Amino acid sequence: MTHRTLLYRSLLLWALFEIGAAAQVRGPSGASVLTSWMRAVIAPPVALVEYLAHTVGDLAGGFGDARSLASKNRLLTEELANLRSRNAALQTDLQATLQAAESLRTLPMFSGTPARCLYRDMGRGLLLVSMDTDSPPSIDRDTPVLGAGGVIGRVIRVEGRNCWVESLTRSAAAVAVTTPDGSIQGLAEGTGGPNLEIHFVSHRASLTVGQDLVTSGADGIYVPGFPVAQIISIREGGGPFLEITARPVADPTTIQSVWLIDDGDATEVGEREGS
Amino acid sequence: MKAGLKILALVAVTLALQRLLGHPKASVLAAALLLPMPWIVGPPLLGFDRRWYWLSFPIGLGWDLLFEPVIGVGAIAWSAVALITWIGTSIAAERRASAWFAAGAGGTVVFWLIRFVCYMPLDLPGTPIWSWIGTSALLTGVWCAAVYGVMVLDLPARWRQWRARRLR
Repeated sequence: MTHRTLLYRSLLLWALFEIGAAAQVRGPSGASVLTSWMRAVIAPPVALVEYLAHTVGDLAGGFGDARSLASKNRLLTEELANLRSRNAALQTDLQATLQAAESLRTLPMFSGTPARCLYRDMGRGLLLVSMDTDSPPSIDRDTPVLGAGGVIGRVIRVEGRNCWVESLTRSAAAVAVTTPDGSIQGLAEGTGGPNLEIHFVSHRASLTVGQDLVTSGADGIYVPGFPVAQIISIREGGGPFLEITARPVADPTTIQSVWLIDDGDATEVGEREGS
Repeated sequence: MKAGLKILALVAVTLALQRLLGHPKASVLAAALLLPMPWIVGPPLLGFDRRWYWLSFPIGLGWDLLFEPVIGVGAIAWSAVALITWIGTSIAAERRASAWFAAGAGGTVVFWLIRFVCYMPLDLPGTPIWSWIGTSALLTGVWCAAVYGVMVLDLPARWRQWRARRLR
């Protein structure tokens, strides 16, 4: 037997004797020292496994939280973008409404429903407007539509909160007009272009370029007294009537905010202020 | 078989005497003497077969039964002394009384240190006191050298020679 073999066998026996001795000794807690040794041997791997499990759990939880946060952040970002867009639209609407209100101060008093222009097809002379109220009032066909400065046109179709408006500049669209003092009557027709043609005005009428024309109410659609157009040219042709061209005071190509008039009783601003 | 039993009986007697050395009426230094040491260092110094090494384990277990609070520590300590002595005697050729003294003293130091090392993980009191270890090593070394001296003197042979001369 070599020294090495002897040493190995002795070491084995010593380990067994030491373990046997540890099994005989009791610690302060009453458990044997061997038990505490086994706990000391088992505790680090168990702690390591627990640590790894907790770490993996934390990582998984953190990853899930990060995903949910990223998703929530994306939703909030989209919501913020929507709110900003809506805010910008509302600011634009507010500005347009304020401008319209400012321009409408000189108009007869009326009651109506505000609406916002969503789409315009000037080739066909049509505008699509949307009422901002949650519960829009019932709007009928031929409801007059006012814009900044004066009359825009009339409603020709209603689709829930949206209405299609026929612009005054559309071909075949017409509105009965008169001078503000009511001395001269005429009929303003759309040309399909930016201007209107005023028909049925006698050669003897004393009209000048730059004169305003307002609704006369003779057509039964538009309430009287609202500005319609301003004369830009007057020509005496061969016919019995003057050839008058007028530019609408409310430009349908840039209008953003309109009013759908639902009150047929219009009174002058002066009367309102007087009352 | 007969010789083995005889040796075991002698070992038991040695341990019993060791027990007596720890009697309260005996000297304090008497307990420092490790009487079984010659059984451990003797076989390698006398050139016995290596299987005698395993004798250290029953001696250690007997020591545990009589002197230690737990079984196993003495077996480890005494077998460590035997192992070191076997390795030492395979290196050194000295076999005279000084070798017995050195083996006994060194084995004693090894015994107390190994015992302390075995006690440490068991949380048992056993801190070595160097003065005690030195005294124990000195006494045990002298004891081992004395045993060698008695073996060299071969008193039974001398007794037989003296009887033979007297009969003539």
